Amino acid sequence: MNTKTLSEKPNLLKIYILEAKTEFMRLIRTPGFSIPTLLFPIMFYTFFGIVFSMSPAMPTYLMVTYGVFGVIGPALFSFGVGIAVERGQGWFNLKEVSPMPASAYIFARVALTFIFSFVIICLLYFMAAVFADVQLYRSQWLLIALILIIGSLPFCAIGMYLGLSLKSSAAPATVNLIYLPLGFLSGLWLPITLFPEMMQSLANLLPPYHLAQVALKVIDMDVGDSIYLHLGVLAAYSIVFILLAMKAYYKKDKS
Amino acid sequence: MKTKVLIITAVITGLFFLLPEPNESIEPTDSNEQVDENSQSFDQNFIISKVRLFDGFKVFEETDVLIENNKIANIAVNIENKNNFPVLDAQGKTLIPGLIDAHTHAYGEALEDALNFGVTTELDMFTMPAFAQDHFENRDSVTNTNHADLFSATILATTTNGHGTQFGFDIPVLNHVDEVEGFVVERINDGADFIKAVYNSELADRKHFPSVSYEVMVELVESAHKNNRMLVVHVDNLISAKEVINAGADGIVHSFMDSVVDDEFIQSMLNNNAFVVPTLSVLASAVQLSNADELLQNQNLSRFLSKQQKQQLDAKFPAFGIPEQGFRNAMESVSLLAKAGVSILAGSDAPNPGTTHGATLHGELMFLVKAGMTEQQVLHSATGAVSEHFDVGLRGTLKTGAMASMVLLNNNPFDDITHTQNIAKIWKNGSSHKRTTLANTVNNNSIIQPGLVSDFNASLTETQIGQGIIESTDQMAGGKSTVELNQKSHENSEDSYLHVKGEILKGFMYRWSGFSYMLSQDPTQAVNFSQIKQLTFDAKSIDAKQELALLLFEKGSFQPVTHMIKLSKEWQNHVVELSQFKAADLTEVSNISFVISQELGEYEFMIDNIELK
Amino acid sequence: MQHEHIAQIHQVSKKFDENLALDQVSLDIRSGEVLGILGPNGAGKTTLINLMLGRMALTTGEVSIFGLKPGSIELKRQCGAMLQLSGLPDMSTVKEHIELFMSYYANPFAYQKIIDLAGLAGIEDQYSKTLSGGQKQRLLFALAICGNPKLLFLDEPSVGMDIETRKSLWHTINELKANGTSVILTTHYLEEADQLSDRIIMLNQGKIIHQGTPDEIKANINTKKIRFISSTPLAELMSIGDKLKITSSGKYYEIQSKDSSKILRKLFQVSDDIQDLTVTGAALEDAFIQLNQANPMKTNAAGEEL
Repeated sequence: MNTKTLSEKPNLLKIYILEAKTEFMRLIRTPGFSIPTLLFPIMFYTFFGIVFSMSPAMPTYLMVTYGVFGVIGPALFSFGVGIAVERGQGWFNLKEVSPMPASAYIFARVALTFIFSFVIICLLYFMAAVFADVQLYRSQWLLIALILIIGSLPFCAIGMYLGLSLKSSAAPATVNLIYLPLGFLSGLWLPITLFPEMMQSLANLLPPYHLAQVALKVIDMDVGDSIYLHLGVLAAYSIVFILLAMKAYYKKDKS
Repeated sequence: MKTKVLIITAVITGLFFLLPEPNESIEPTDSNEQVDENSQSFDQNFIISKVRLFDGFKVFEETDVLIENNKIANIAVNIENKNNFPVLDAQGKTLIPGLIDAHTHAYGEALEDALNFGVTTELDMFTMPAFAQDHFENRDSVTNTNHADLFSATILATTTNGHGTQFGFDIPVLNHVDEVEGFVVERINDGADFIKAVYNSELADRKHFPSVSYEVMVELVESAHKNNRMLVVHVDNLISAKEVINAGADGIVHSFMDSVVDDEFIQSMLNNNAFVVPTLSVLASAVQLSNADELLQNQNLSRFLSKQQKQQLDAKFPAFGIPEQGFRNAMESVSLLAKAGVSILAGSDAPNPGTTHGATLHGELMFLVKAGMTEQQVLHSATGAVSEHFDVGLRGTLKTGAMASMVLLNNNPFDDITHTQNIAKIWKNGSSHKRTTLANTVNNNSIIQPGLVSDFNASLTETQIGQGIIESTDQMAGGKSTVELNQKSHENSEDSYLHVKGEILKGFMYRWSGFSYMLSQDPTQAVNFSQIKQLTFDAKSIDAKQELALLLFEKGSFQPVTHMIKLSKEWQNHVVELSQFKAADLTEVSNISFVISQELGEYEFMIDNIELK
Repeated sequence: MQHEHIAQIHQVSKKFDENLALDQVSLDIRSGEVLGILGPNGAGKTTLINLMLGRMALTTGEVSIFGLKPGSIELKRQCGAMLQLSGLPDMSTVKEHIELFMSYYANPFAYQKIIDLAGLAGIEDQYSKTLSGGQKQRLLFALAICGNPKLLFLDEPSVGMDIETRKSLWHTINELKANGTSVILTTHYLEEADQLSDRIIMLNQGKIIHQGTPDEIKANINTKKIRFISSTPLAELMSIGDKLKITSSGKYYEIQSKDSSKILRKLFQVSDDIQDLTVTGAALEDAFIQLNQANPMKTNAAGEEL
């Protein structure tokens, strides 16, 4: 046994970059997946936020909420469906027994989610600025984009848990069944204030609602609750789902 | 690869700088605050240092104010910061008490709108008890931070068809002395903080409305005082004002335009320690001399106005035919009263046409200065002076123990009263208030979809969209015009239509008769017409030259946008593009009325198949 | 061949609920050897491999490979694995797959060497989607060996390969072995195990029922099945030999034996109306059943030392 080779380590940064790059190339070669994810929120925004806008503030408000809708999509799908399918193929197992650091796998998918989120935000901004005449301060444009991109992380955690616990054949349908109602009930499609009281209180339990509130704070359109409440809920969801995902992952006897 | 990434990054960065920014060159005040003050929070416990303080009565230069547990705990030069509270350096700025508007009508968003302009207390002179009661409950709670405190007369005392009855609410009226005591007790049960009456003397020249009798007036004063309440009176001429003050009323809540006050009146005001709320803003609006445009154009105010507030400011009274001199009389009276030492209290009478909650009080202060009062007197009239007359506690003052409801002004209002409009920060009960701007109001009216409103076959009054069809005449405003709605059948057919027959009679200055197509239950609610492009209907009239007025009413507004249509003697389909109601906000439609207006005499017209497209 | 032990598996048991998948298995793996693991489905092959790969937790016992715990990243960097997959991400090229896996290792083979070893020349730029079953197997093999592993796990490596490719795969495995790589191979091709393994262990019902060199194993499972029709009663047939396994199935009798010629000689002595006689090699499955039943004692003996 050569102890020298044992102690040597591969270049971690290189793994991260290659892993993310491979994942990214794979996705852009699969337009069937990437284009709907990109265009869904844009289409919805165009419909509700621009064409059928009910008030002058609507395009701005909905730009933010559809931004949230936009970023949770890639997070849920990249993690939820991506992992479930690779598990079904056995590819996930192969990666698991290979010396790939688990962090690289997560990093690649988070990076991918961020890139997708960024593209969606760019498209939304374009529509909002050109067709809906949305005007914000540069700092606000920037801050909202940052909040949305970083804000996709709790949904990565949720997606990770789903990916690790769902059957690969059921994953796409299940994630869609979570994604769309979650978006609607959190008031991402239409302002939460249009909903009956009961639905508004339901939204309080859902993480997209809280992410939307954080982002809406930038333009003073939030309902006025404390930012710590929103961040707290998002953090709580992240922690719970990271724990659930770890539990699902370490449930080793999955033969 | 690297060059590609570089190019993409450059393009995106470039595009980022093309994203549109608001036109104003300065960022909103609250953003500035966040940057300037390192996001320290000035809530509950903090110190404002080196500020020019107006405590409602006097001015103190470069003083420190300690706020502890949401209350003013100490006012002194160089307060020691024992508890290491956040310190707001306010050198050059001026701290004044939260303003009090001594004459408003509060409903809907009134109290939120008020607070948004530093008005932390409103004295309401007529609103529905339900609204008032909602706001009485937590009036003295320290957590009551997102709207102004409300003190209210609830329902005013008037007589059948008297002023106050024209708004369409079913309110109790007084016709006899015996009814007075019961009325006052009822108001007190409603929670009224004071009693407000409407009075017009038998001897007055101009009489638009019937009024309670002098005997009732006297009884109102006595009954109110017996029950430990003040009695304030709406008058619109000197003779009536004299009568109510002599009867013992505590104050009058309008100035008047018919004549300038005389020595006798001033003397009786002084003797009775009575006050006047001149409401110059609404008087100016009545003679088209309003300063609302000035307010609308001032960036310091306008960017905090909601759309509805802008409409209220933009609204005009119909031409009453009162000469402009009337307004100058009122100004002259204010000047004389102030000089003689009579208490003047600032009030806006919002939301009458040309006025709105919050913003108009700043406009009122401008009028009061114009009338000849000093800036300090004027600020006193909107703060400390109110606390001397009304039982509002320490509101309107910044004395030790008072709730820290206050306004920090960027400049010195004693140099220029318009500096009250340049607000650095507002606190309500010790909590800093984040001012709302137009950008963040979201319309949540339900959206109306196109469809048939009524073909008048099944029902005359029920509609498939909206809340139905009701008679509408100037009787609501004290006029005498009449109308009759009937379901009739077309010749040789079972298909029926709406037959409208009525008579326009003299009575109210603005005469109308016809029907209203109600879209909401009451005027404070509305629906969203953004999906509707056209209103179509079939119509004909008996008179070939009949002109039909379509009046589109917006939420909370009594000023419709009008569109005229010529009817012919044959059935004809009319298509009204809603875009023709240029001034209207179609997302806030409350009702559309089909009326004949102004022209005296009988009329008859028929309507069928009303549709929204 | 060196005789250094690189891995010790000591008294390992694995329970799934109440099901004992591995029962007190002990095993050493030596440096530079190819260890074949044979056994019918459900024998515990996969469980054993999974335990060594760190994908499952032990119920009792101990596994140590290179002195490390299974599943640790340091150990994974010394190993390569080829598992049975139903698919791999469609839209990556062969080259991208290999380069990514190479990056996981500190001292991988040169890219060109991997291509040559796995026989992937000419299809490097194809998406995995377009590969045939055999080509996919070769790619998976490439991913397993790309890190120049000290220990290589191969789970049914030649499934879907034609004979020629299989031969070249065997050649490559022998090359790696010569290079000092230890290989753990599971297969159900007896020929594959025979060709490659230095040592074979046979698992059944969670126990090692036999282990030895391929030659030893072959001797043990070189069982033939004799099938015929005869009117001779079963009792008389039983006299052919002790412990003889005779079963009757319909009108046929079946005898399983390692020494078929001796049995046949005796059979013709006992019975004179043998009809429709066939002699076939026993299926692996049969051999296991037979070994398990015939040599219950040998399991223990084999488990401890051989």
